[in-house]
Amino acid sequence: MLIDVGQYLFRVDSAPPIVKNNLKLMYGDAITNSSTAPADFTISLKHDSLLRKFLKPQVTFYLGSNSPFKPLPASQSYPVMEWGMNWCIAATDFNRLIVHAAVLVKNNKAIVFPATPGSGKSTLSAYFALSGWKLYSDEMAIIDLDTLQVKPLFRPVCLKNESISLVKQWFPQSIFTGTAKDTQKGDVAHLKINSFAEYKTFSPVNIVAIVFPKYQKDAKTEPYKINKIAGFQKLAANSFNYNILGSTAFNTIQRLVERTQQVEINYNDLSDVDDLLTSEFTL
Amino acid sequence: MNKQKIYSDIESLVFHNEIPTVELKQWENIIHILREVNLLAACYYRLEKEDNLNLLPFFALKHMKSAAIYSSRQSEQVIFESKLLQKILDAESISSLFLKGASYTLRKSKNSKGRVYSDIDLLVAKNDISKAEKALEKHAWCTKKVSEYDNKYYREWSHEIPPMFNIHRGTVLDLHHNILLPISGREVNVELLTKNCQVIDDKYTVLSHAATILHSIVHLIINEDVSNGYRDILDITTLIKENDSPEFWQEITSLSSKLGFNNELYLALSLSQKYASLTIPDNVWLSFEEQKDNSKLNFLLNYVYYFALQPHSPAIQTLRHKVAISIAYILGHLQKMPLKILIPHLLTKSFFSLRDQIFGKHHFDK
Repeated sequence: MLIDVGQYLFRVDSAPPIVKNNLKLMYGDAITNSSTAPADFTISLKHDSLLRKFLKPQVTFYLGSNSPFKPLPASQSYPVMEWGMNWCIAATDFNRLIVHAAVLVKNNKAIVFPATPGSGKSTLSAYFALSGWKLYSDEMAIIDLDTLQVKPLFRPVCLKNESISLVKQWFPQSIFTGTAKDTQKGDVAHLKINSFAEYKTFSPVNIVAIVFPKYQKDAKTEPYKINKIAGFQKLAANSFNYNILGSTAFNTIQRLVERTQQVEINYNDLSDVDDLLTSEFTL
Repeated sequence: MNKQKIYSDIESLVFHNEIPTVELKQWENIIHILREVNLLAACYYRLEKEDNLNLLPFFALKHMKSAAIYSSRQSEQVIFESKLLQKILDAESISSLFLKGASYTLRKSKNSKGRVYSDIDLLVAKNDISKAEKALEKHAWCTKKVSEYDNKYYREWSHEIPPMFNIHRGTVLDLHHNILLPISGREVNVELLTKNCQVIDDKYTVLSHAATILHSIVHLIINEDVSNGYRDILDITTLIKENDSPEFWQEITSLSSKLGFNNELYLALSLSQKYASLTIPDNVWLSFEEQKDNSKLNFLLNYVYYFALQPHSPAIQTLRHKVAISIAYILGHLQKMPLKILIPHLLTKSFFSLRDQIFGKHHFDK
């Protein structure tokens, strides 16, 4: 089974049937059985031991013969697979700057939402992506070191805890995996946004703003511009490979911060955020 | 594609910088195998030096380049850590010497380009080792928690203490007082080994080139874990080519005779010849009369090490490789420990391994 996630091609060597079914549900027409292109990663999800297959079963994620994480309960199989795929990208791709962030695009302009605590990044991703924005990524912004453009990834949105039922309530037609309970991030479910055919129409775009949303109950939706140094620090802190890229990352983030606006937004209603960003950045 | 063809493509690329003429799709196996044996970055720099990167398909180039960026960051880190370590030990007047990977980087050996490290290896005198451990502890280096059994193994039988790591940066440090386990009965005369040691940048002490290579050879052959063997052979061949001179050959053969590693040197040179077509001077070959007639040694060469050191990847492994790896595992242990200690040691290890197979590897983790 080969999965084209846009910038990377994964070969799934082996995985439990439930994981394969979820992969088919999430990636659909991005899955093929053969390809003329070489795969970037060969991955698998395996049961740990014979006894463990039946008693408190656990699974381990592998890239080739290496397992980056400790085994986790089999009930979390699908999230483990998705997190493993994230790890493959973050741990091996140093050709671009990779920021832990959601990327949403409207009118060919990208807004990057770094994953600061309490930002509600994934809920925002899901809401925006199902309200007319293009989802370039829920988890990682892939930024070209020369052009500073952000490239699209074809991955589902990873929703946690209360957001799962919220999104299901807002968008009853949406396509979800089952919910994995009690993972290290709480309850987790994945949400499919586009078909691969739709995704194929996305191309790299310029970033216009770095937005740090902050969910606050009873807050009036208001933007605050933050200074460039704070913007730089927050971006650097959320980059997966800042330490490895060293001065290249420093220069890239500096150029990015100079070229874009950095805004903090307090909100309690996502549709207000949508309106605000659309008018502020003429999207 | 058949396994032998994949392997021969890998060997030509790694040791001869020859870019395989294969369909794009076949690069998948090649890149994945190189990633597993940590040689992606080394291949990048070797091809770059010959100005041949442009002959690679984009798929291979992007993966090699990415690994090269990672390895160059690691080598900066090694230099940074070495500076701090040297300062800590200097302050306590403890003489130290950098071994293996760190020494390649500090003296900018050709094999250091693209090399990746799991740790930094430092040699100190045996009676300085606890002083060094305490000095390092004051500077945020902690001893890794190992099982009680492993701790006993390190402290009583080994030539090093359990690995230390820096609590801020996670860098791992192996502190040695010898290059072989005392229990092996082949403990090395450190004075002889370090006799011609050199000082780099007025700061860092490293072994002479000949002693560095001999150490790398001993570490490769007298070891139960041969999973980094392919990388080690590349180190050895690259270092020999870089230092090839009559004086060098004189020093390495004389040192290996004095330290009792002629068999290991013979094996490693023969392997270098097999993989990398390394040229070895006639007079050096002539000095191995005894080894050439030793059928056990030649069996090890042709049927054990030649296969066991090849990348451990299902894409190229045959039954022959698996058998060779198992023999190398037992031999590595046998060479390190006398049987009366080895048998209980292996029983203990296999008990834990069996236990982990049944309950899962991390079931008993604290």
